[in-house]
Amino acid sequence: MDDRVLAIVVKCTGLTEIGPETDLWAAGMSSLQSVNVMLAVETEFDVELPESLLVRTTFSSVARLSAAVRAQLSGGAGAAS
Amino acid sequence: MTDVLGSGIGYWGETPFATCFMQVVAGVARERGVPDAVSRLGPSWGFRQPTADRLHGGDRWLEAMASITGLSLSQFGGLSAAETFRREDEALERGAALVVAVDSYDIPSPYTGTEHLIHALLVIGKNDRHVVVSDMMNHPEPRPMNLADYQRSRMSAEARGLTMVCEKGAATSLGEQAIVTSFAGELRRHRAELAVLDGFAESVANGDGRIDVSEAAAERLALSQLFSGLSGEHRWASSGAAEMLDLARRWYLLHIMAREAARNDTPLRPSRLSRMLRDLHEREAELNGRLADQLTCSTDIEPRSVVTEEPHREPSDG
Repeated sequence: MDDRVLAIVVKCTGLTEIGPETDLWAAGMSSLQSVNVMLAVETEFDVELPESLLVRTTFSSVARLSAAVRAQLSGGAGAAS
Repeated sequence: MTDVLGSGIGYWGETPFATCFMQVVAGVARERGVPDAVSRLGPSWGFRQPTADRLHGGDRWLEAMASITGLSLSQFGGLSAAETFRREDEALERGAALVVAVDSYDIPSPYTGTEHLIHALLVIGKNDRHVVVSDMMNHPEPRPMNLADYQRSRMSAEARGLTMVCEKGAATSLGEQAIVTSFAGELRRHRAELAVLDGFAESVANGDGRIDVSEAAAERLALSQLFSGLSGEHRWASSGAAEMLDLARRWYLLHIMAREAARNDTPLRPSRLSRMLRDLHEREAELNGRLADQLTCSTDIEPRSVVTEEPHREPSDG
């Protein structure tokens, strides 16, 4: 999961020196890039992130984003209908 | 994620989607004696649906700005080319400032030759061969534009001859109470126009996933700046500005999601758009209620005169 999300983040942002815990905002990810990350992740995993997760913290690291995707795939709290 | 905005509408440089007219009009107003012009864009708060895929705000910011600044501001558009340019020339002859719509596709911009987007320019001068324009966002320095190119872009499908006119004359500010009273009227209109948002959310559920809500977002950004410009005497204004800015961010997020998805040729699912719009409906209605309550508590506006019905709430879709 983390590897697939990481590949998407690299592709959408051009950031290469990043790992699962890297602060993506501090590394230079723009808001526009974060939207494209979100869209690509949703397509890759066939999920929709609910409105409650469309906040900065969800996209602050690959690990956090992966966790959000995992929660959606498992039908966790806050899952989109 | 939700800070897709910069610090707001600036006088120069990049500006969020759908705020270019506000940016230029603020620049003109500042020159006419409104030092805090960015916090005098409106107030307007509501909804209008000009086409199936577009949702605007209430579209009353220009007339509201005229009423609170004393500037003579007006607009026209959708006229024939002959009538459009006749009115342009007359306005310039009487010394008015002209803010005109062109297509970003036709001018030096990030969208040159690639994307058709309406954009605002300030007209500095005009003769039978050139029009001298200032593009506050891309090229503030005045530059000549070939008249034929100018006229073609002005009458493009994007621009449709839209023109805002600021007549000669200095501003005469009416003071903050006039702004608050004007906003109280907008609260009522906004409440009534939530039905437009309802209809839009319903219609996009059967659409192709391509929508443009940037005008609605821009109006809320302007409102947040208007609240920020009010003095500490209006205690509700500070929290209202923050809440309105948060609302603007949510609208911009939706706009950019829809825009980027369409550009990637994978439009958002209509059901998702509809769900996000219903979420925004709930946020809009709740903010209306909070601001109405705060205004009645802190001004001499009669209680409940601002809101005449209970907030409409959409059922949760889980």
